[in-house]
Amino acid sequence: MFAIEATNISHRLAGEWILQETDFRLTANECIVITGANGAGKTTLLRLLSGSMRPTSGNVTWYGHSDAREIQVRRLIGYVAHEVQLYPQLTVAENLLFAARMCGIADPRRRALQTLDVSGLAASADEMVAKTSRGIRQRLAIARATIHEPTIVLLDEPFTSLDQEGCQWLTESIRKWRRAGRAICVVSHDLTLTRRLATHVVRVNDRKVCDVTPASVDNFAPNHFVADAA
Amino acid sequence: MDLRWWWIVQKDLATEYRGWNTWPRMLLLGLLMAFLTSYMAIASSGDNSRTAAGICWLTICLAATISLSHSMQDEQNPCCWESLRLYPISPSTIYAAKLTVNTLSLAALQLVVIPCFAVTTNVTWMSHPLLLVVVACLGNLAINSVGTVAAALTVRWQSSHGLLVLLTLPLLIPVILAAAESTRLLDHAAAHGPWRDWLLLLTAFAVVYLTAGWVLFEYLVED
Amino acid sequence: MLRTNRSQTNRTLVLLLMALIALVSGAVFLAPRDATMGDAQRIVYVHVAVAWNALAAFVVMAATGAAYLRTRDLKWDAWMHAAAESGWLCCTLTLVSGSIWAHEAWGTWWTWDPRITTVFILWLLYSTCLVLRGHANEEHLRARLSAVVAILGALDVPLVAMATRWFRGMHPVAPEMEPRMLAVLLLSLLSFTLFFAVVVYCRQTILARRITA
Repeated sequence: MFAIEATNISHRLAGEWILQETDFRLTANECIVITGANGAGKTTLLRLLSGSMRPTSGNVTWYGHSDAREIQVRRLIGYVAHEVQLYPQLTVAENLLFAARMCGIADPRRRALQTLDVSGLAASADEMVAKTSRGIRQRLAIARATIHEPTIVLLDEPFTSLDQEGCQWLTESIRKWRRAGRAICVVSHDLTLTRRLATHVVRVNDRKVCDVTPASVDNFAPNHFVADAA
Repeated sequence: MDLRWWWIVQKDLATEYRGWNTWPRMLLLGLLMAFLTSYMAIASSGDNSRTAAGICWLTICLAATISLSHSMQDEQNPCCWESLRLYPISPSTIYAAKLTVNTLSLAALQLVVIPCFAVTTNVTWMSHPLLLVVVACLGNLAINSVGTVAAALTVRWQSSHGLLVLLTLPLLIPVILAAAESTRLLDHAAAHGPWRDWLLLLTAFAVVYLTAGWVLFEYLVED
Repeated sequence: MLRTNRSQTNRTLVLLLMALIALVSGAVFLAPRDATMGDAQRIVYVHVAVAWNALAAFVVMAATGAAYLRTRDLKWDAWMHAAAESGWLCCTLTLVSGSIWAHEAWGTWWTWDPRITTVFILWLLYSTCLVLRGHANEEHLRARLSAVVAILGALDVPLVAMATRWFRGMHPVAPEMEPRMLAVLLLSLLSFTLFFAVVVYCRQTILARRITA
């Protein structure tokens, strides 16, 4: 069974078709990287796959469930959006604790502390999010979205603002998740990381999702993304 | 009962306590209106209880739009609305939490503003404290149950507060009228007649808006 | 396709003509002159009909709004939009014709009578709904917002209908009418309802075509 199966999905925003009659499939143990030009519709595609938005037409299923509003479907998905989605007036630890409580985790305090350690945020635990650096916030955003150990992890430009150590931590985490049988989908512009992480690469181009093999990522011209936009 | 609504309430109250973004603004608007009304009431001769009750409830309603707007904007601006929607919780939990926070904020305002209106305009509402509390609670619930839905409706737009006022005022006119008349006629509460009719109308709106809000909120949680 | 459109338009025109002929001839030739108000009373034949249509349009909006929320089919939004537009027009005409009638009957253009107030609230709700629609640029978002406003706003409809019975006011409840006056009033109600039903149907066809385009 597919972790995510999108069949014939189209999405229209402000009268413009962003995606048209396209398909997408993601299975367990797989890491698909979505690339494409700015404004091609990568974020829209990821939001459709997260169940945050409903496609104008077509179907998306998560392990066979078609209604994203079902509580059990929500438990399956961890979605890191392009924006960090954190409460600036709460501390780093409070943000994680709130997420753990919302996910219905049995011992939310313990899980929040564990997550702080695993994601290297223990030193900043008591800092207000508003006063932390962008890199810390990005780590926290990833930790928050995956605190309930989801089986499907969707990440939109997750390497943005992360330093070298942060990138290393995320790369390792993604590999670990994949080994644990999770299905991962990443939107990224970073060709090196794409090559390192991806089991499949897809490109959003001309309102469709097209298959690209990871090896052929090397052949992308340096200005590939700019060229697409034109 | 799902405890998660309480964690959302706690988070919202902590955010307000640390930022003081909503309550001071509500209070300032309330006091300003109370003193302006008092000035107008003193300037005009005759029965000012109707004017005082009407403006008091209009003030409460306008102040409520500040807390309603903030309760949703505080989710929308750091883009947390999307993450809150995607947590494995039912929309009615979010509705219950937001309704609780807004009701508490408005109750705090009512505690200050209603006595202020009563004292500055020389009306006799305060001589019926229990009945006044009943009217205030029903009005509060009716305003916030529909206001929470309206705030969730308009939160996506930049000029959301303007649109929220535009949307809530027409929906709340019957509530404002019923609450104002119930407050004005408190002296005649013991007698059968108009006071009971207005209170009944207010109760009906509180119940109907609460039920409608509960049912409809589910459809607003989607993007 | 073209033939269907043309036949629809022709049908609309015939119905419009029928409605207008029936109404004008009824009001001018059949209905007797009112003893107290004179010719100004004839406004009632239009006023009651448009007021009824304004209420009916809101019920249609709420029903199609609920249908949209259940099915997520944008064809219901087209119905909702069409009903909102014609409902707003009817509500405006109700307020204007009522105001003219009030000037002749009560000597004032406006009074805060319960029914007039509740109709004014209805007009505000229609206007809010149309303004909100203009702000939402995504069609499903727009449909969802209109549906919620329509359902919440529909709670005002029983208030309008029962305002004269529940609250004391100046607005006439259901005055005794001379049989010929009543016949013209019923004819007017029927013609206006048919006319607006066709207008709403044609408008939703145009709007639905835009969705599929």
